[in-house]
Amino acid sequence: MMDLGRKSTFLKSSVAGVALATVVALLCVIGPTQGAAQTAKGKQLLDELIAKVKKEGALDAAGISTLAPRKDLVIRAFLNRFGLKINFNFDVAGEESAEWSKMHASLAAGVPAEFDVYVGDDVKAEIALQAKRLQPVDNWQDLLAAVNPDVAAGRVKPNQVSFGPFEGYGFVFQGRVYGGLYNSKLISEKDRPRKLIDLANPKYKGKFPIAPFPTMWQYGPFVYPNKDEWLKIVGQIGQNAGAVLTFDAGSERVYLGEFALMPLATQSFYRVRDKDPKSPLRVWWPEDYVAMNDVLHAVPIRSRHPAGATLFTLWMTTPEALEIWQPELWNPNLRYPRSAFDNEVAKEVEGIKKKGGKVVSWFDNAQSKALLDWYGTKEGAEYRRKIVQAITQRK
Amino acid sequence: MEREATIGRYGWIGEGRGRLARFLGPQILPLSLSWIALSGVVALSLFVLYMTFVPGLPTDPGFTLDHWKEVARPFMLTEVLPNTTIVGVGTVLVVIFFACPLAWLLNRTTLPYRSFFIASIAVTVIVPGFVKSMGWILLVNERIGLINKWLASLLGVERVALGLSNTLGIAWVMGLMLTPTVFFLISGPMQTLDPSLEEAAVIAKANRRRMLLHVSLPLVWPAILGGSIYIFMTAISIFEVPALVGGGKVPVLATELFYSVHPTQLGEAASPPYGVAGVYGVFIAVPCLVALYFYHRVLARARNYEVITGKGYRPHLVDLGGFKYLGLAFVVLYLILAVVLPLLVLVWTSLLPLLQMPSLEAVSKVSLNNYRKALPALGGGLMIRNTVVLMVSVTVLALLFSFMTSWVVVRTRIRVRHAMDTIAMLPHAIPGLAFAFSLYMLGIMAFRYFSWEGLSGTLVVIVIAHVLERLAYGTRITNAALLQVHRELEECARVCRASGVATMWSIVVPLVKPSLVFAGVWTALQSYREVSVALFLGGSKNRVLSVAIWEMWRGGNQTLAAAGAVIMVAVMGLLLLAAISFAGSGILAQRRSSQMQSGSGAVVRP
Repeated sequence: MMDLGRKSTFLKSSVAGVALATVVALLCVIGPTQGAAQTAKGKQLLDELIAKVKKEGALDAAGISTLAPRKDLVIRAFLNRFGLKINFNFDVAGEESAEWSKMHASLAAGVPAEFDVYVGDDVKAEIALQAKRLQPVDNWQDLLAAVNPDVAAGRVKPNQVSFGPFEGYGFVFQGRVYGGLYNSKLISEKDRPRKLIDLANPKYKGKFPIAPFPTMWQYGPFVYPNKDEWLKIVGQIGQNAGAVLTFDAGSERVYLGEFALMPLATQSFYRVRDKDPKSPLRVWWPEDYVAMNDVLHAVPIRSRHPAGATLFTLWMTTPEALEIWQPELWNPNLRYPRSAFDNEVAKEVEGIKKKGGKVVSWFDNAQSKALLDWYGTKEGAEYRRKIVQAITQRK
Repeated sequence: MEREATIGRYGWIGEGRGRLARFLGPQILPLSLSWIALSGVVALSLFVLYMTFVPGLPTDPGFTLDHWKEVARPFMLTEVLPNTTIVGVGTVLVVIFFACPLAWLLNRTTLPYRSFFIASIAVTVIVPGFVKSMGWILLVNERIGLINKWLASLLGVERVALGLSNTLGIAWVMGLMLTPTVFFLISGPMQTLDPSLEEAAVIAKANRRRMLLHVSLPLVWPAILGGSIYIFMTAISIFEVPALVGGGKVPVLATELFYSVHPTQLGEAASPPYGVAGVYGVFIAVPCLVALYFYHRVLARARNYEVITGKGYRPHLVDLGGFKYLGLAFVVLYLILAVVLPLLVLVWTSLLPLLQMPSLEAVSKVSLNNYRKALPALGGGLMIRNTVVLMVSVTVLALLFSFMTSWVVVRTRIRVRHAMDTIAMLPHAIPGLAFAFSLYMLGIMAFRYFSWEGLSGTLVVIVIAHVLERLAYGTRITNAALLQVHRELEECARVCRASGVATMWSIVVPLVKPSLVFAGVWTALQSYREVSVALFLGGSKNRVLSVAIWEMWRGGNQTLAAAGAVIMVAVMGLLLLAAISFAGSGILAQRRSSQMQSGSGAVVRP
């Protein structure tokens, strides 16, 4: 027979176990029920949205130019998913930055923008948001759950898709990670630079092209707080560069063997790897910092077909859409990784952090956001201009 | 009598029309049409200039000199302007070196396969400039150049330090690329040279060289000078060749323009500083205006160059005799450098999943996969339709306005005709991007104030931009062509009471038909391959093939873009060959007919 002390313990643990089991059982019942309630409301909202899209009858969406070979797949999949028979123009022949600029020009003049939905990085979206040129999606969380099964199932949280300042306005579907790449036939893993600042070393003179875009170099003061010193380093890197070429053009020349490496061109690495698994290109993660940004879809104000734009924006966040665009664009989604490729890059990024490297993006912490805001000031704009001059060696 | 006849024919309306017609003279049609086009040029040019003083969008208030300060810094004087000058002059020299002999060989001699060679030269225009640039990088590059490697193995050295990433290399590539422009410009006048002048030289015992230098060349000098000026202006406006071949390390005006307007993302609320583009436009326009001054001085002595007269005009071909093979070698050399090599690079690129140097390993990856995917990826039927409509409409309108403008410049004595000729050249002096932005803003304003969407995102706005841009080249051709037609032919027509339009259409146009055909072909090809304006003004509904191919290339799908470009080159090349063969056979028929009438089939044999 148990003594009283052991009996008490047994009772207490039994009661606790039953209580716990009850709570778990309740959660199992209530959880899905709660989700189902959201889905029902979301479904109703979705049905209404689809009806509006059909009434609008058309949609003009700007897409990323690299997606051109799969453009038709995107169009077909989107229309089939919602049973639509509208005139859907998915344009991938424009230049992203130029399209956003024209959007601003049109909206500033008081006329609708060319496209109903735009795609671009978080900085472009933030500028548009600050200028009050994006329109919010009403009941976006319910709609997102209705469109995106991962969100409905709780595998992805809504604020992973539309986060921070972009909540309800911009919806992330991929990201860009700016490491480098190198040609292993021309430079070994031992000899390649470790950090971005190593590119200022004379031994790398003429061995790499550099892209004329300042954005990724603008992260520098986040890691190297002395701005004058950073500018000097960037100037030396610019002097060492063998050519000034865009990411794709430069990566192509590295692949061809003209240059040994290229900083900040990781997305090109994955595309090349897909087309040539035996490619001599290797990825290189700078140990001082690796910049990242998110790519979103957003609907501008005065959109001619806002319902279609909203539906497309939400649909592009789905696993169905990812299966179409990712094998062409080869950009990872690190906000809510789902595919094997997402996980591969996420693992790489974790590895960088474990080694003490910094992975930076503008919207992940107050410090980097403050730096971004500083670039919006007169002093910051002048500094940015000097960065451009430094990397392109135009005085 | 004439007044009464006019009133009798038309009543009170006729009286008004008769007065107006008398007031304006027989030049009413060319005057009105030329002014429509030139007004557009003036309006857009002034808008571009206005942009240079506006801080933000043109619709925003404010005045600033910041754009000028941005551009006018020491770097411009020490590097940009000298580089630009060397590239411009170097390009002209390369072009003249190839274009003049080619034009003479293929239009004035009995060289065999002339139509095929002319079509081949035209085909080079279809191949995009960035493809040619990549081709030359693969051929001549210190690290990866095929020619470098071949020379190195020949000389037994490890590396041959020969490269194109300097001003002379850029001039070389651009010169090859732009040779067809001047070739077409002087081909028309070359074809219509009066051989009696050359016959006179032969009779005076001048050898072939003296005849060429002292008779033939001076007669086509206005066309050559006009072409040189045009090429200089073109060369300093092209961006992709210095950017790719020069590796972005040879700053010229065009690359500075590109970098200045490329949106830098951070901290800017809206559009990039298009005012800076306007300033660069002014910088590019200034040397153009200087060059035009000298051109007008040549034009002032126009009558000395008139060779198509009312008397016994019968163009003949020069029999090269034994020199035929040297002529063939020269033509073939140019075609290899400018046509065959870039096309080979294009085809090679189109057969691979990724662009790489030729090797056994690369050959194992060759396939036709890109051809299966190319056209749908580029946009399919809509893109093709837009491109065809653009090419046809731009060609017709550009030729019409060019001819009318040249008629006023060359055939009338109105005081402002030189100013009109200068205005016609302005679009070429101002960067296309600046013009495109002006049109874009006008389209927005038309929508805002008049709710008219005709100028926004439609083919119409691209057609307008292209027509105005092509006016510069079109008028060079039609100026040179009309200079060679003596006025006595029109005077005869007027004596016979033919109207101005009838004279123009029935007498002058047939005589300058070769020039018009060449101008039409060139205009269509340039419209087909033009990217920057069509890209900027492009929207969801007016995309054309050149833009789709460029964006696909720029976006990393070079091999797919190459496949699309090969298909277009093949189709355009066949159409071109057919067009030139048709035009060529028509001209040959005229020649044979006139020879039969005169009873003489002699060719000139110095």
